[in-house]
Amino acid sequence: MKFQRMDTSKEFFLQLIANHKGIIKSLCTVYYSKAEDQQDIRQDIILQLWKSLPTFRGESTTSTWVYRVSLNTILSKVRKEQRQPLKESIDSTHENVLTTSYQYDDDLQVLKQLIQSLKAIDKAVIILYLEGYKNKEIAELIQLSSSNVSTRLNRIKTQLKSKFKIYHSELR
Amino acid sequence: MNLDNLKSAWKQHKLENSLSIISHDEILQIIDEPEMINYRVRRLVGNIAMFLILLLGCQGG
Repeated sequence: MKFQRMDTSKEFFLQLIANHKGIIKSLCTVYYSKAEDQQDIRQDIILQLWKSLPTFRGESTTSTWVYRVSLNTILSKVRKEQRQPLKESIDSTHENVLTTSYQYDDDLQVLKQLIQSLKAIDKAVIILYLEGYKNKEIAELIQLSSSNVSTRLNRIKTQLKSKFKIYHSELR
Repeated sequence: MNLDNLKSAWKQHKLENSLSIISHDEILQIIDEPEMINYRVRRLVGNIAMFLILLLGCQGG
């Protein structure tokens, strides 16, 4: 949805959060596993959205704006905290993926496993890709170059393929 | 496995999470809290300043 004139009232903001709570909660769960951490980052995102609302000129859709503010808030927090789960590389989570391979019962589980194995920026890239944004748009949203986004996407695709090879070989 | 195959899974993930409840009161508390803290800090600083002025005034008399 697009707005010609932005209403910065609290009523409008409440409605905006209600409309996009799925995006916000999804991002929180992707980046943080503990409930209290998810609640903390959700508060940070909501506060940042509120602070940023007066500067939103309606040039993009509200969902794009929510993604932009939310992801940049999360990435900023991640950079500061450098928490253990976010430092995990594909190699370090590999064992975990194998031991929980029985959970690969649908695409959603596959997605969760894939995302959890990625680094913070790569998570943002894949989420925005799955949301349907083009490489140039992804680059603009999380302040990367287009070529960097392309490289990261190719790497993620390769990782996904290798994960599935491992998974299927485990099943046999 | 194609990455595009996971687009519907992401939609499903969002849909599941959109069912979570976040109350208006909770949101209002989040956005009002910093303003409330600022207000309290300003009030505290004002009171301290007033106390110091009165203290100095009384000593001078």
